[in-house]
Parts: sequence; C-alpha cells; structure tokens
Amino acid sequence: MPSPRRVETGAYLESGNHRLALRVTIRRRRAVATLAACCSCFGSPLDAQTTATLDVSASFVEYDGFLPSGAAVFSSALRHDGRSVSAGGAAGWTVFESGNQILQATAAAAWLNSPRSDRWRLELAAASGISKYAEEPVSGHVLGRTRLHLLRERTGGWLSIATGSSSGDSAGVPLELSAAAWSLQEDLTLVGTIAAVRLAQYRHMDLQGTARWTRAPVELEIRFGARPWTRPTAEWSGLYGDASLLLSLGRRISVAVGGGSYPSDPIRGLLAARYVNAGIRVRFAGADAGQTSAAAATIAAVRRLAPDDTRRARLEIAPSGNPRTIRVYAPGARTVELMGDFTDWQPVALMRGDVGAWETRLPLAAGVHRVNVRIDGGGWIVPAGARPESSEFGGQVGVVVVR
Amino acid sequence: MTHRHGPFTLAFCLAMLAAPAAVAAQEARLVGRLPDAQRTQVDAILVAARSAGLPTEPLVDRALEGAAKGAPPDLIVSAVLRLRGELDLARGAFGDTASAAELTAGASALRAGATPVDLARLRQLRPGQPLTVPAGVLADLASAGVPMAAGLDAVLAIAEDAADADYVAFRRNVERDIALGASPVAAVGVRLRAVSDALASTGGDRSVPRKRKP
Repeated sequence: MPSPRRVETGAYLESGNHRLALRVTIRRRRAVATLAACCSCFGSPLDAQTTATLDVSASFVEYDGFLPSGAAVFSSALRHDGRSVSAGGAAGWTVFESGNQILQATAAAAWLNSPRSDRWRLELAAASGISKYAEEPVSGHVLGRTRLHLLRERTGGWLSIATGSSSGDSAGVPLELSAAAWSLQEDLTLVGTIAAVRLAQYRHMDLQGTARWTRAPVELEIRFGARPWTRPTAEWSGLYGDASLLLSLGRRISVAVGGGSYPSDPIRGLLAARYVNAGIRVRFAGADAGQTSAAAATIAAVRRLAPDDTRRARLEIAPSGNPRTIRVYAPGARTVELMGDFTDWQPVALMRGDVGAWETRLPLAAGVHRVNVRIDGGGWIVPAGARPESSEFGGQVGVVVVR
Repeated sequence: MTHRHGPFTLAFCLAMLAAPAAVAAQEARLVGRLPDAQRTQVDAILVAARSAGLPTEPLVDRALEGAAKGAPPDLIVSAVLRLRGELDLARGAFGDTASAAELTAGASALRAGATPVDLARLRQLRPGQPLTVPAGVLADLASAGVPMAAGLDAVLAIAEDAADADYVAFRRNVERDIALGASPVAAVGVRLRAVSDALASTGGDRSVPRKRKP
C-alpha cells in the first residue's frame, strides 16, 4: 500500500472478460490525483465486433491523503471481441492542475474455451500495463487470470484466480481469489462478487454488487460494496459506491457523467478516492459506445458470456394459436416494426409489452417465413431467433420455421 | 373476304378466350408495388408455376419483399425466377405431394448449399412425414457455420426417428454451443451424439406421434 512518501493510484478497465490496468505512480504528496477511472472504456459486447473510442473528460477527484484536484483526461481504446478471443489496448494522457502529466498504455487478451458441456467454460486472460508519471521511473505490471464459469440460461457465476508481478513500488507476487454470481434480465444486469486479495504483507476482502440498467438512449450503472476486513488494520476499509450515466446523443457521440467513491486496489495500483467527472465519448467503430464506469468492467464480462440472443433484439413466435402472438424483445427501444411474408412485406408497428417485449398478433401458417425487424426507425435487421440469410435485395433477411 | 377474315377472327376469338385467364392470373397484391412491365413478367412466372403445379405464394412473397426493400424491378423479377427454379428442384426431390411449406424449406436448403440428391435422401428416410422442419434445420445449420456435409450427415442420421421437436432442440443446442465458442463441427458432433442417445433410449418415441416403417 502507499506509504506517506510514495503512493500509487490509478484505474483499471476491463474489456470483455479481461482486465486492463491503468497504473499511475505518484511520489509527491502534493501531486494531485488522477481521474483515470473515467478512462475506462467499454463497448456493448455484441457478437464479434471491433470498438474504437476517444474520450475527453474533466474530473475532480480527492484521493485518500491528498488534496482535491481537477484534471483533464484524454484517452482512447481499441478492442476486438470475437466469440472465443478478445483483445484490446488503451492509451491515456492525464493533465493535472499542477501541470504534471501521466502517460499510460495497456494491453490485454482473453480466451474462452469451447464448451465441453452446457454449463462450464474456462477462461484464460492476461493483461499488462505501463505508466509514466512526471519524472518518476516507468512502472508496470503483468497479470494472468483463470476463471471457471458456470452458465445457465440467464444466470451464472464464476470462480477466479489471478496472479502476476509488479515492477512498481508494491512489487511482489499478488494473488486474487474471487467468486461471483450474476443474473441477466432484458434491460437489467446484476452481479455480486466476493474477492480476497494478498500482496506482500497486504490483505483485504471485498463484497460488491453491481447493476446496469439500459433503456436507449441511457445507460446507468451503479456499484456498491464493502471492505470489511484489511491487514494491516490501518489500511482503508469501509463502504463505497459510485454511479455513472451514459447518454447517447447519436450514433457516435455520447455524454458520460459519473461520481462516487471506490476502494484501493494494491494489485493494480488503485488508490481509494472520491470523484466526479463529465466528458464526451466519440465512437469511431463498433455498435455501442459502452459505459464509462469501473462497474462496467464486471458487467461487460457477464454480458459477453451470455448467449447471443440475450444481447440483441430477439424474435419469438408463439408455438400455437391463430392468429399467433409475435414478440420482439428489444429493451430500450422506442419503436419496433416488423415486416415479412406474412404481412405482405408491409411494416407493422408492434405494441409495447412487458419487460422489453414488443408484440402483435398475426395470422401465421406453419412453414418457412422470412422476416425483418426495425428498431427506432433504423435499418431492417435480422433479430436473434431468426436465421440470417443473404437477400438478393441487399442486406439480410431472417428465416424462421414455424411448426 | 371470308378467306381474309378467317385467321383474324380466329385470333380474336382466341384472344378473347385467353383474356379472362390472363386477368385472373394477375396478382392483385403486386399492383402498385411493381412497375407494369415487371409485374407482367412476374405474373407470367406465376402462371407458369401454377401450371407446373408449384405453389405461387412464395413467389408473390418474394416479389413483395423486393418491392418493400426498394430493389430494382428487374432484380425482383430475377429473384422470383430463381426461387421458382429452386421450388421446382425441391419438388423433384420431395415428390409431387410435397406441400408448399416443404418446398419452400427445400428451396431454402438448396440455397444454403444442399443438393437435390440430399433432399431426396431426406425424403427417403422420412416417408410420409413432413420435411419442413428437417429441411429448415439443415439450412439453419449451414447458416450457423456448420459445413453442409456435417449438417447433412446429422440431419439424415436422426431422420428416421426424430420428431420435429427433436430437430428444433438439436438446432437450438448447436447454435447455442457455437455462440458460446464451440467450433461448428464440434458442436454438431456433440449434439448429434446427445440426440441420438436420447432417441435410442426412448426408441424414438417422443412427444410428437411418429410414423414408423411397416
């Protein structure tokens, strides 16, 4: 942990299932702290995609043992999420009131094994990071992590062990053991974790809950937790919590605001702090700007594990009845339309139902049908639950077999 | 005069006789959705399909889809013509008694890479049973990345015993495994063993009544 003469602070980001560390080393007590937490950069884990973002934000932060300070943060991130492999990198530049600067770079990759059964999956991940603060030496870390995931339809959990090395002040071989349980609803994701950490003489245990609620154009994330036990006892313990809000202003621009407190993380060089921040996110690639909070790390890990049909508009057709009930699950949508051969390819507006469902009732004979769905007046897409087939008329059309 | 008017009169009479049939062949839903020239071509395809005993509803649907998506009219005509050919091939494989739904599913499987011979084998293994779902599942597997040979082997392997519900569950499990990171070939292999074991343990007696060979 930080000594009076030498402290570490920083923030981490997770991209998909892997955690990147942004590490900042600060020697002087007068040095103002970083707002690097807002550098975290996440994209909604849709099916394989590449996400590239640029963030510009203003922050006000107060680290334990330091004076409050403002900071300007510029950061960018590039990430690719495939079905089994994710990889990403990030770079950041933080300028403090004092004029001191931090340059940071991180890289990480994760691999998920092919399932051997319905329930279990193995994940291997590695992350590394370096940072340079003012005239201080470059510090860095390398972490490796193994997770065993238990998956059910919309719930799951994992057991995790992480270790590695650090070349900074808190040099040593860290060990982090954690367990988690999660639940994935239409527009709400809940995750609970318990973690035990050891680094040299330092020990602590965390209990944490994270929630993410999404309804376009808003994403809200809330994290709360407790650190009931630390060794040495003089180290920080107590309650913490923060929240962040991402408001999409269009396809590429989002506004991000957040605030709260978070605990220290000796493995990743994170110092306990209270903060508020506001900024702009520009997305250059990818389907979603993603959240900006540290809580998003856990959420992103969960949502990437979920089956594809839990993460995008999903079509369900009642197995019987005439007319049949046709539902499209599209949480956060403002309008949902459907057209297919059973509507003579005329758009039909669906009515809002429960928990993210939109529905209508139409005569639908048994057989093969072609269908497209449109969300919020966008392009015609193939929803999950329908087989995408290349259309002679451009784009794709969904094919469903009705029994 | 009689000599000069004879052929004209005959042609006129034939035209008058044919006119009601031509009017009846016009698909009302295409009026206003396609330019007259291309609508006439589509109508001609429909007439030919109907006379060949093929279902015309999928052809009309395809034309309407193209119109709804703003496709060039000539492209719509060619798409309808292509589908007509696929329906014809599917009918050749499934037999004259195949339903419109079966033919549409067969056409979808053909487009996904199956051959008429493949469809004929499916028909042979499931005599008297509907083929819509197995053919649809075959196309679904191909779309999910399963090589056609592997998907076809799986669909045919359980064709004698599997009910439609078995096929649907099989497809869902394969797609889920793939979504979770399994290779398509591995997923279809694992799931095929599972469904084969289940069918063997129950003697193929599933919730949906199944016809057996005599």
